[in-house]
Amino acid sequence: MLEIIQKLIAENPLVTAFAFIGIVIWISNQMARHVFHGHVAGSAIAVLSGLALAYWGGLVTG
Amino acid sequence: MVIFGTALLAACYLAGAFIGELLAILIGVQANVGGVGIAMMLLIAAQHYLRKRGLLAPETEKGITFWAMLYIPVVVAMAATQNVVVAVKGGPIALLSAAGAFALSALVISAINRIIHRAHIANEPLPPVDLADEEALVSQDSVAATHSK
Repeated sequence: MLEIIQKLIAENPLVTAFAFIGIVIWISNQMARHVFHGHVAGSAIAVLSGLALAYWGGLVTG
Repeated sequence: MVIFGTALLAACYLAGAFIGELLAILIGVQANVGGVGIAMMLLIAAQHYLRKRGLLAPETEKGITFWAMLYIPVVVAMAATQNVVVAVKGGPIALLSAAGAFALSALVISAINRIIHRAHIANEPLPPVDLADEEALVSQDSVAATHSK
């Protein structure tokens, strides 16, 4: 099961990226609305979380 | 946000490909069985469900529409990356299957179109009589009549 998912993600990097970015932006928009009550733009949170994820990815992969 | 539509499209594609891989294991085939077709059905179902719930903003739908409009260009690009020389040299099977698929699609699509067309005609009230058209016909008739005389 996990092997299939891994294989699919490796074969379709662009499609996976679209889906994943959509999820990140949706979560960021929800955070902007409910956590920051509209004081911080959802796009700003999305860009920062992208950087945070890149940092985490860099730590994991070395 | 437009990206949500594209994300929905991508998620449906991945889910369809996943189901296709599972089907392939069940059947015992070394390929993806109907992944794209399942993805299309999933997308149609998801769109229908979200629209009914009012969760599909028009802007979200643009994220799907854009790729729907890019469908034919993508097919052209995919066709351009095929190894056509090998396919043609490899024997008549490839050409025969292409011709067969083309003929079958043409038949089925024309049949579906005819069914839809008939359903529309059956549902529609009789078209109103267009006076301008009728006058044109009458005048044409009279012109023809005068010419024949």
